[in-house]
Amino acid sequence: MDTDTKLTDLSRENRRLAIELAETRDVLRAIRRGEVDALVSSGGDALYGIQLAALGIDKAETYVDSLVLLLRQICVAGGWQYGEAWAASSDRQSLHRTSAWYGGDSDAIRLRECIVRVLLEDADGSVPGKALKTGKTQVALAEDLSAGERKAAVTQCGFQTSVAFPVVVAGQVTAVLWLWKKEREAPDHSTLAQGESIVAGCGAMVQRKREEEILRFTVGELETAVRERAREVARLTREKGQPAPAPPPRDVSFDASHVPLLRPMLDCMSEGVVVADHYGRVVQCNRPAQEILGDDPPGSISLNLWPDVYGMYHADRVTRLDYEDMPLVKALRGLTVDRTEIFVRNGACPEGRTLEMAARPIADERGAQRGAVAVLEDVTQRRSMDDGRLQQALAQRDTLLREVHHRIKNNLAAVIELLLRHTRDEPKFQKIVEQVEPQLRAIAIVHGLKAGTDNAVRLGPLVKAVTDNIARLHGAKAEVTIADTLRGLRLLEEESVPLALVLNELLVNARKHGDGAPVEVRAAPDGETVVITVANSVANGSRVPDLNGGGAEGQGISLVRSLLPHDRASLEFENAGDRVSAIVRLAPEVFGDDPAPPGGAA
Amino acid sequence: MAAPRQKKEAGARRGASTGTTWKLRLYVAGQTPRSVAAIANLEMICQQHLEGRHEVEVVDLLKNPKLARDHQILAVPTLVRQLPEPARKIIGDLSNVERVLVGLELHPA
Repeated sequence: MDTDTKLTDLSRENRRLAIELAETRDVLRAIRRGEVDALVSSGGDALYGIQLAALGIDKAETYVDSLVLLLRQICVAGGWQYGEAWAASSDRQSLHRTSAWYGGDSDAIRLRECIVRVLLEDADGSVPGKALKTGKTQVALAEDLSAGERKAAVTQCGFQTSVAFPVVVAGQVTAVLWLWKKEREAPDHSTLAQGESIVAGCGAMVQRKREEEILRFTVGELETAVRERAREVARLTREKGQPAPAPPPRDVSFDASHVPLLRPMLDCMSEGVVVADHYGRVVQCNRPAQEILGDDPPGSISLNLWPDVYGMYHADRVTRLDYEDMPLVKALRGLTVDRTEIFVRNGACPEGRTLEMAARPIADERGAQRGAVAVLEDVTQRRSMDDGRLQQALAQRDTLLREVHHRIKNNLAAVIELLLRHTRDEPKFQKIVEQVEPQLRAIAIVHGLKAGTDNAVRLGPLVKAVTDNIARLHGAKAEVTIADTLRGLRLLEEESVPLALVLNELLVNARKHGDGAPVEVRAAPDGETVVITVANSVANGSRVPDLNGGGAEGQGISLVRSLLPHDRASLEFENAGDRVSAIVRLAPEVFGDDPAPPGGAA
Repeated sequence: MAAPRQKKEAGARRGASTGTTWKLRLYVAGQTPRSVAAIANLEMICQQHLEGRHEVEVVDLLKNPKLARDHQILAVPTLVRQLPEPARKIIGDLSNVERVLVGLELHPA
């Protein structure tokens, strides 16, 4: 190899090392900032050796917490998909499964439902048992397991390969980490060495947590015993007739002696309570919560699967709730969630339930977040009653509205009667009253229709009623034809009175200029628009004026044009020989979008 | 050697302003609070700085453990900018937006 080639290779290698060094420094900085979950592959053994503790194992509050962190690290680093921790008894003669586990999908619950204890004498058929017995890492395939409940569960979960790492402290196996993956391949030497290195580096830290916990438990037991002894002394003193010693000041805060009451207390609550630890694992779920959510015990279902497993939806009952939107998950991110409504529909409750949920982060006395708590309340019945009350209030409102329209109609009839009476005394007003009376009656017709059963003015009944009114007042004949599809069209509230007045004016005009033949009134669809035509014939030889803006408009036509909404309706006239047709074209916006009432409108 | 590097970085910043599609990949391991935070932070950063010009892929190493070694990932969460080149890695939960913007070269250092 010549010198140039050597220089090029060295330069390339230096560049690679420089990049690796920069990345390693980035990782260390991120670990110190507390932004990293786990280390993945080795950037050199030194990296693991130096900074494993910084991942928080030594700072974990409990033994189980430290085991979970260790499992997470070893799973992520070695590519294992599920891990659980087994603790050795003090005599090293048996292993019992702890509540520490990491990873796995919902099926992995089957593994945690299996045996919880392995005795050393039965160790030959058990992978963690062998690790306890030999103190050495054990690799096994699923088919190597002894037939039984555990093997069946492993097969159901689809796991193929397992390894058991013994946690050895001061020459003694204190725990065994049992890890699984779905690929059928024996782990290579470097993966096993890496796992053993992590366990060796952290085993002592984890064991210290266990010992601290045992000490705390012992202290609690001793405190309980001292309290019981003090009570006994007080009782005996009372029996001997001596004054009882002053009781010690009562600590009203929650102490360890209340812990056994915690679960019954939670189960007594009417609301569901779910507590998750800061890893996002459900650690408490009271009985009402289990009843509310369905038949799967929520503690066994990973939080990210809740929306699918429990069929969780937003309040609209259609949009599936995302994992991120769950109140408990928001609280795990440090957010406070006040009453949020969600809907749950699943196999246990196919008709669905409406839940009100609130969630809060849980912080310890130093302010560090330790998890989150969510409170669930089944408000299905309350919502149903609220809906019932709302329906009742709406029905009451409709009745009142109908009554108001009915009274307006009657009052308009009274006004018309008064005007007619005054006209008898003052004939000079007769012409005006003749013009006003049909207009007032047209308005009264609208209010009469609104006083009907569905509070709506529909096209068919309005056209028919206004036409009949003119026919009755002036003794004129009229033929009304309304397309079936248009009869039930609901007019917008603000358009009904103007349209009634427009029809009234066109009919009055047709009768006035007609030759006595029946006036034709037609309503027909034309594309998206509705066309109402009022046509009349004129006497032979009469002059038909041009009414399309020719300047010959009377007062009535001017009124019609002013009443029509300019952007949603148009008016034009057609002269064909001895026939004049007034054509009103109404845009779809004039009509509401609700369907015609059952059976249509007359 | 400094000149070409400056040229590439300028190119990346230009990518942010000229509509080049950014390809980002976030490596996480399970649904931990940090991985959830990283996903949320990345969504927020993309919305504010790369709206409509990015593709994000989230890789869960618990489901695909082998990908970590294939892509030389050292820790999770890690964000990798695959495009525009050169590739960049940002380690952590992306909670410090300023640091992420500098790392992605979306913001002058």
